[in-house]
Amino acid sequence: MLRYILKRILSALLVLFFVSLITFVVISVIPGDRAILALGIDATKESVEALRSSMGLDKPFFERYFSWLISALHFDLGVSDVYGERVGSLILSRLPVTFSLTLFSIFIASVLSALLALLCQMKKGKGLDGAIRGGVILISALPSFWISLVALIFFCGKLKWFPVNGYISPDKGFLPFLRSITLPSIILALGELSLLTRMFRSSLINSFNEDYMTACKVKGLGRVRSMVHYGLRSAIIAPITLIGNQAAKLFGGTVVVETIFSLPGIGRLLLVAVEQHDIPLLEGVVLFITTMVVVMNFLTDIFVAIADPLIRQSEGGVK
Amino acid sequence: MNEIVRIDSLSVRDSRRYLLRDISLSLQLGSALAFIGESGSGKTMTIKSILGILPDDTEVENGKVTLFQSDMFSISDKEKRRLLCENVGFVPQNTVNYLHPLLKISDQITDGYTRLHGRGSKKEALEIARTLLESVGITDPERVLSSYPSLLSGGMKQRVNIASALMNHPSLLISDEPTSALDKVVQKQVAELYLDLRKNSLMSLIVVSHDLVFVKKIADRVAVFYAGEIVEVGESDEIFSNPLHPYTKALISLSPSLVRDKSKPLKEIKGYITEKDRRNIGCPFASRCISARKECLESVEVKEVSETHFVRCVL
Amino acid sequence: MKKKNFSLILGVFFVAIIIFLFLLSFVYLPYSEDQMDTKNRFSPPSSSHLLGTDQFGRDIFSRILVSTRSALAVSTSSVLMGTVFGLLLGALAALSPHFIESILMRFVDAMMAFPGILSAMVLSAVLGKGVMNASIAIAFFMVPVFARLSYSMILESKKKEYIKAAKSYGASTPRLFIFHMLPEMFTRLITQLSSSIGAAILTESSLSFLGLGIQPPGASLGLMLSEAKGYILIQPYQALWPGVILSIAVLGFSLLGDGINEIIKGEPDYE
Repeated sequence: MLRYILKRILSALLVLFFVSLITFVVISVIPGDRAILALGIDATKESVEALRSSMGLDKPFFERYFSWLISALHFDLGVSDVYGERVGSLILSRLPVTFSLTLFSIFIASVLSALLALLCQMKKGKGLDGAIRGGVILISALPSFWISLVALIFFCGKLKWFPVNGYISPDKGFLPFLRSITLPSIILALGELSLLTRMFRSSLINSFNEDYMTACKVKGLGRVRSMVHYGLRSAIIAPITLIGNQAAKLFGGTVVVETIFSLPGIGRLLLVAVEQHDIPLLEGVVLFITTMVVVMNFLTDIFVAIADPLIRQSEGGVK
Repeated sequence: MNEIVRIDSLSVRDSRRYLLRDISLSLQLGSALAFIGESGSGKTMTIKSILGILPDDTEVENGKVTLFQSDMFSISDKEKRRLLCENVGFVPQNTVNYLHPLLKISDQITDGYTRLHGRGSKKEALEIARTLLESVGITDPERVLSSYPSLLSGGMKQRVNIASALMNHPSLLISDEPTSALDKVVQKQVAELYLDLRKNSLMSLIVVSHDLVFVKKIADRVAVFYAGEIVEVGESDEIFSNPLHPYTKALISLSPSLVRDKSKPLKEIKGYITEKDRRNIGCPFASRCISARKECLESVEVKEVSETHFVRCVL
Repeated sequence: MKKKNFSLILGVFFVAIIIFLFLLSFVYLPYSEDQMDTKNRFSPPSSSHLLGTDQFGRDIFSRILVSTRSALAVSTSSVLMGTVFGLLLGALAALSPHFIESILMRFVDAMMAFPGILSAMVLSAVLGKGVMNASIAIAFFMVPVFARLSYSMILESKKKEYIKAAKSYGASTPRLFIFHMLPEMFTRLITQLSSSIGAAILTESSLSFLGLGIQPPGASLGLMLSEAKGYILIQPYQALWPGVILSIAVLGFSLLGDGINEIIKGEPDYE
């Protein structure tokens, strides 16, 4: 187990290295000279040179990359051009919104799809099974920003169930906070429904068809014990991996919903950075999101390895 | 009241054909019944009907299965579980995932026992499991108990299955080819274990086996299956000394270790069971039978040779 | 009894609708997509404006027709770019020595760590807005998907006996790739292609919705929805139809993928 974790950590670190390299190359190198961008094409050579050296742009690529990486490792992501604040603290202040949105929506999606899949498993091959399978595909194909618009009119405009604009932070009361992120979370969850339900359904059906379920019957084990201890044990492993991976993806994909529902999350920060060409902010946000994705996937792998001894055995040694 | 299993004219089918047709059997307490016949003849299906674990896509068309005086098709699911837990042990045919791949052996082998004796009985259960594992020829039961099934060989798993079936001291042990996955040495060990069980306890046995030597040693009665029907059933001695159905005769004469003359090559029964044979109104064996007559294709009936010996053949 | 492949039937039907609209936009366009008619703002559906007009009096039906062009152009070009680079990268990794293989695959993992919309946004910030740049931006997140596909398929077929046999009589590695592995990969590729086009259409419209993809006065389903956002109570049709068409496109391509997958994996017919 220890060996497996070490291997995973090493590979996650390698992935993180590449992630930072891609981020740096794409954002700092491709757009061209930031000094010229900042001063305009008409600027004098001397002033460009002066700005370049003050920004450290005259140094070779790898020196620039590593000095950026090393300060990032010290949680120093620089200062945002637009906000004039430290990027790190900007991200931290926006984190709760995106984090709770992600958590809440993956929770809704997992519970809902597990229940739907269980229904499918019980009515396998019958009308309800087909209806659910078709329904989730349909629902997940609807573009989130379109559902958001429709939901905004309907739930916030007509029914007034949820606040139209804005986010209420948890220190102003937990319930109002929950209410302000419920609708966007549900909308994000709908997009994950199809994939998760399908995964839950197939792994449930596979597991309940296995011989060990026959063994439970013959041994005369109780219904609950055979379902929970035997049937579900194998059935949740594949979905857990998927839930972890999807949660990671969701974390970086909340921008559209945040924009529509005016939620001050990391997605909005990203949008501002993109629109205003705020390079330090863009680098910081991208590096943060991708790092979170890698970390979440890593944690999922470890969690699954704890649940599934076969992975530990087969991947513990050589790959 | 000594009849512990009784099957009355049981017919089971799936969407396309009969898997079992008009099966009738009975087993007395303390006796051993063997099922013989080639693959696909309905032996395993009969066992599944007794245990109430028929596959979802099959349907019981007719008949009744009575296990310890309970009608298996009418008692509740809960009663069925209780009945099986208390009285019946089952050793499956070589199957990959009969043991759950994600659970340690110690958890799986004991849970039938703890089901019967309450949650606190796990320690006792482990004690019994150790003894049983040793008695099925496992020298290091502690290591096996703390392993996951993927670490065990096929033979090991099968021995764990046998030990697991014996945990609750069942009065009926049902075994579906218990030795087929094992190598020769272990096969012999397991066969001896079964013979011991017979000798030293009142346990009743139903055994499916291709090993006629083993069957002859262990069984009191033998049922011969062909294409979903029982073509002959009788006391073991009668079947082996005086087989009446042409299929039984062929099976016994072909068994390599019973009467085989080593100088001659192995014989075989020509042909195979066709779909047509299964749908026939007449004798399903007719198309392969060396002594078949015209009327065999039209009808077949059960003849009572003696009180204990029945044969489904017009000859 | 053979079960009907509903995914395939519906998928083909929906994709056919989109392709029909796409072709129609070249043959019959009632109005130019940017032709404004300020007297007729927010007009309801009528014989002259089939789906009504928007805030500038532009014909919604014509704009939808033109939108299918950018949707299909951006999605197919980005998927094609992603496929070519992805397949090459995956194949390179699978056929390389172990050390290089694991480095390359960690690189693929790193690309995978950029959620689709994130990489598309960042690249469009870096490259600038517009159709071509949107395609490149979307292609970036297609690359790792196809890289993993080709990587896993090659590893699987490496294990297969006929490849070993071919190697034993001296077939070279590139030759093996083209004649033995490619045909097998092709079937799985089609499935992935179809669902990726659906995802790409969705990403393109999301980008345009955020103002980073197709720029006004151009027409894109996402852009139309974004413009409709402000007038949703005055002119609901303006938000309704682009959403419906977008859903049909996304659903169509993903169902088509499922349907093709079902054909390949489909249960053999015993009767």
